[in-house]
Amino acid sequence: MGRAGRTHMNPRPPSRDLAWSSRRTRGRIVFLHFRIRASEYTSGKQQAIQLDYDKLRDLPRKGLGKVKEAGYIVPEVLAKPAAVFRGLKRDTDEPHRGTGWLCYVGRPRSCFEDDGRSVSPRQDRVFLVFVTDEWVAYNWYWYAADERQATLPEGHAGRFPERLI
Amino acid sequence: MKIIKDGDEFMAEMEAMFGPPRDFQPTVTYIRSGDCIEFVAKPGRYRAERLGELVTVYLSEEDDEIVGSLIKGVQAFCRQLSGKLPGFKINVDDGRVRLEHLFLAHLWSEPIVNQLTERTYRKLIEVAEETKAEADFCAA
Repeated sequence: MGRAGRTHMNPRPPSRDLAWSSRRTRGRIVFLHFRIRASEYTSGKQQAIQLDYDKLRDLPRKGLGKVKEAGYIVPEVLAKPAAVFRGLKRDTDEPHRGTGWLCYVGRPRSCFEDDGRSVSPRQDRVFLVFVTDEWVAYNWYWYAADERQATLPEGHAGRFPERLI
Repeated sequence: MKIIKDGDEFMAEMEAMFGPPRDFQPTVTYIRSGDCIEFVAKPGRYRAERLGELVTVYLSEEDDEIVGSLIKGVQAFCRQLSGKLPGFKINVDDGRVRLEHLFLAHLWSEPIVNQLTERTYRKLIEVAEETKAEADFCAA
């Protein structure tokens, strides 16, 4: 297993090709997909990433800003990550769970107040999007940036076994 | 399959599916794909801060107060708790559990790393109690 901070084998930035699609399953489940070229650091093919239904369902009750965060910031980070880490450290009794999961890191240009107003994010913040090995983005949030490398999350070396880009 | 081209279309799709954004309400969401419980008790922008392997707290960007949390690996955690603390099962009612019970059970079953962590858990329990936060998940 590689160390955090390892240089990516292929430094090309991910493609800006981005599209979303939605579909319903069993009449109620909505998946919103991102088509990004995750290929540079995964299997070599364009990959759709679903946004978790449970997460999306409750966003409107948290205000307009949280919905906009999912609609504008999450795709920005997925499409143009500053870094991607693999292998979230998880519970000791389930060593395999989370080993292939990804954390996308980005520094978005804006963030949103609850009323939907766009404001500048703090300079010492990064935005993290967590993706399962089944390509479901199940959570995302702002996090303190590393003091020495402002594009990476604080404590990344001890948190993620492997850095992909 | 309908293709959503940009954030504006995403917003419209969200509104069609879940209704328009509303005034803030505290929410507890069991996110099945990530096997985690997200609890957001107060409005406003926040950042996350890891409290340990299990819990991440959400801190207000305005005043650093605790406004929520994320509990990870929920199913495994509940299995562990049921093994260590058999009485924990009585706190799970038809898949629903009060969040403060989860936090307390975690504190009872694991050594507390330091006083700051202990204080943070106390505050988290207070916030969960205030909002009567309850998670709905299918316990293993």
